[in-house]
Amino acid sequence: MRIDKRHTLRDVVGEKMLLIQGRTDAEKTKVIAFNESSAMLWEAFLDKDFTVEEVKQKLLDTYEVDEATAANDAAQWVKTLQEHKIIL
Amino acid sequence: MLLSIANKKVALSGGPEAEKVRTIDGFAPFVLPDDEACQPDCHVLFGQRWEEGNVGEELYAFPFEDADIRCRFVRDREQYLFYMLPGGDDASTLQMRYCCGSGRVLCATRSGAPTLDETMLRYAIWFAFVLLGIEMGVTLVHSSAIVNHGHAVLFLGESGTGKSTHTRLWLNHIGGSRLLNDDCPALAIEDGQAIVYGTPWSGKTPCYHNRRFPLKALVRLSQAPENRISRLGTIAAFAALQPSCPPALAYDNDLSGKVIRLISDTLTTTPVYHLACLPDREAAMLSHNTVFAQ
Repeated sequence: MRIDKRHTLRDVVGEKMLLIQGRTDAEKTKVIAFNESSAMLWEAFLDKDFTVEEVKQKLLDTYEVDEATAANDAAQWVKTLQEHKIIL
Repeated sequence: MLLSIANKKVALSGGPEAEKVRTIDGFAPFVLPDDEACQPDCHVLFGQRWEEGNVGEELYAFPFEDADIRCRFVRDREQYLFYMLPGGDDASTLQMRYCCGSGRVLCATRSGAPTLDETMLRYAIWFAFVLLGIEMGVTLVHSSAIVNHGHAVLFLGESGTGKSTHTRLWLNHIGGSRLLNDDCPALAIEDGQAIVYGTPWSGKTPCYHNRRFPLKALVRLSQAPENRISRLGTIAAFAALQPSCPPALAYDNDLSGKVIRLISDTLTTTPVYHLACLPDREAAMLSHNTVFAQ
């Protein structure tokens, strides 16, 4: 999977967020707020193909967290971005 | 001729349209006298050659509400193109071309087409200023701008939510209030301070003042059965302000990034509130007293 490079993570007064502009009246514009770890993962995987396993590993490498939590957080991060069609 | 909008000098030239602007309702306070010669910050050039063969990606197609006109905003590599198509016609009447950083918008009318009428010309200059302005750190904010105590307050909200109604309540009930612009004031950052300017575009209310005021606060309005105001955190504040900036810019990554940077700089120094309210005096008192509490 890859992050769709048409999206740019923005910094607004120190908060990281994605703006997903709705294209039609029915499709609302969305703002997705990224916490520190989500933003770290975004920067880490922006330019490459990756797997959920690699995301989990990155969390384990970066933070003091147990494997189950890392696996869960990695899956959640991927799932959220897939839901919004940010991860292809 | 030169216009001064949000303290940016916009030179209009190249065709009869440039002179016609002098006579359009609302532009008079923004026309610089001819003897005040100065260097323009940017240019809108009429009478240009129509450029054929642009393919590019359609960023945004939308109707122009005030007239039966369809608009298209397109990007072809480093060039942005804006087309206006009067209703029923298949062919565009107006083509505007702009390359980021060039400081120039080139306008061409299709040969054989009638010259632009006042409505289309007004809107064309609006769109040109949107493109030229954001490069210079200025954007237009769909809002009603009220001034009091030497500061501007911008009331945001979709059309019909009651921005004009609310600012009219300030005028009626809060002494010292003045309306700066009722639809589309300009926002810029100067020396780290957010500044609001009147513009030649004020929607249905003729309110044209070439004046500047520091921005005290932004207030997003919504209709509710009782009056309540709350301060918004960063994410919600961003979500309140971004939709009020020119929609066309939001569909291009580069232009959107510039708007977001301007919004971020504004939010660094300016509080944003959400006012849920009735169209009554108490609502105006509540927003005024909250915003000017210090």
